[in-house]
Amino acid sequence: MQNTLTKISGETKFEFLIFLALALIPLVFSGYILFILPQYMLFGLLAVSLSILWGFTGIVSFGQAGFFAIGAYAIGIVVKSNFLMNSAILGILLGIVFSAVVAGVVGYFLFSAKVKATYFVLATLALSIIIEQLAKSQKEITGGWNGLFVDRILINFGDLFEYSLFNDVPMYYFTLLLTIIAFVLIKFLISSNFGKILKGIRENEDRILALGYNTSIYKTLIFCVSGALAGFAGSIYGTHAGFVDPSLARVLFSTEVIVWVAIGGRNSIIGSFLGGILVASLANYLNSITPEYWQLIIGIVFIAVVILFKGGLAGGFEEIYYRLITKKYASARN
Amino acid sequence: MHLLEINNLSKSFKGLLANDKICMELKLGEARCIIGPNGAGKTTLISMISGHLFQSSGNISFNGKNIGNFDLVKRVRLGIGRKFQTPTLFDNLTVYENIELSVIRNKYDNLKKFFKIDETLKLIRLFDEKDVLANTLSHGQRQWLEIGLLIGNNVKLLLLDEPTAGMTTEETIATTKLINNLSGEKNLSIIVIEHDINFVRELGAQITVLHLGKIFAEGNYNNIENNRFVREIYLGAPDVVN
Repeated sequence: MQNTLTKISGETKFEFLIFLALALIPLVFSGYILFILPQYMLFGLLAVSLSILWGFTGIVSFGQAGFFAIGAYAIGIVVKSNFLMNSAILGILLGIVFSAVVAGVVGYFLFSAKVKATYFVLATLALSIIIEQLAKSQKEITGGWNGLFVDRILINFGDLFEYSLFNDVPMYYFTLLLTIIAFVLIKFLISSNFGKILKGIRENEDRILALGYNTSIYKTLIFCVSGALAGFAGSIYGTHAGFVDPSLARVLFSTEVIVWVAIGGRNSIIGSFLGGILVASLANYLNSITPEYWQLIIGIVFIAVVILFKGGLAGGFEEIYYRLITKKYASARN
Repeated sequence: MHLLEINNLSKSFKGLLANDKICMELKLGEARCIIGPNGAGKTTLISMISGHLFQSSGNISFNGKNIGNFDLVKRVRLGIGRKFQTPTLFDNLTVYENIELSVIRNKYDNLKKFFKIDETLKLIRLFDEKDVLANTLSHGQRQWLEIGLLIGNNVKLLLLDEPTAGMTTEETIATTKLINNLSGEKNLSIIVIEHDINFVRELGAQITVLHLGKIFAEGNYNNIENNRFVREIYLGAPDVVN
């Protein structure tokens, strides 16, 4: 009991330090890094949306990019039509609601039909392709192949308060704040009884059923939350990037999310979050220095991490940390 | 009123009759042993009560309610819990977390939850192992942990499929005490499938003998032991010759 308590607080401390560092970056750096980092934080959230499914419930999804795209298109379309004063907030809310509803409906039918894990993966793959095709074909709404330009939004609550996200620093802090809120909510969810039952499903679904939990409801709910989170990240991404196009929903992007989470550590929320940020940054950097081989290098990193550490970098970090602690205890005893 | 009433329950698998018109009643707080040679239909019968299998004909009522069409989850929520033949646990979680997962379905407040987990851990003699991962427990302890999952789940009827398999003599005796304690003091009804005849004798419960899917004999240990036909089919023919 003592051990788990210190472990939890250690992880929370680490998370606090990471977000503190992110909050201090605009004071030290300027320019491109301030533009691009919020985008990577959103990728981090997208990675978290997969981690709660894959790492904490044992369900793999190849459809996360699809939900991300739904969020991005939601804000794009709402801001463009500009029929309300609070179109920005409405856009984000619709992004969350739409992706949650799509995930909920798809999840409900697949899980209550007791579809096996492998077929569920294929269904999410198809979902991603359907969303991409819809984005391409519904030209009047989505702009088709050419995509959609989205203005940086203006957050306002009537005349009381107005906050423009046109510049990079306000956008940076806006994104960071929402990221922290989403992160904390997900942490609460995972440590709640609901989260414990998800872990039980991952460990032994037959047992959880035989304890009287209706697993298809739990799986549908977490898929819904995962979709909502991906859609939320996507909606902010839409206004941040200023441009949305069908390639956001492509399967390749969903695969990238899986790579982030596998490298970062699927059993750790902060590990997946950092996986999203670090691997996306690395990919960006490698792409600029060696455009021919960067994917090859990412692939090698992916394979190396998966072979070396069972739980990704977060799992490896934990392992080394415990080894050091036991060494310390051992030497203290001698 | 009986807690469990089984009426003409039959199950056939593609023509093979695994259970043939089984009738059985179980009172609150009653323990019952089901014995019988391999293939007698013991596990099939338990699976039909737990909701893992559905009957071909006949009906089951629990607490006065006809549950023949209820699915597994619904039956567990009414109070029917099952321990599988091979222990089915959350292997990568600790003993405490295992029990916690079964207790939180009751939606207790924190204090009550804590007490319930504590009480359950002590009952199944795993309090000292509560921070140990379930997959590092001995085979006997794994059996207890799974029984603990049913206790934490607040079931009224426990279906135990070979609970002493792989146990040492000492562990078997402790299990007998646990089961008698659960039926006697906690007033739970228990159906046990067992092969270990010493365990069956120690338990001292009413015995139902299944043979080829049918109820072959019923009675206490002495009745069954002295039943010539039971000895023939189950305890071994040479005894009859002697």
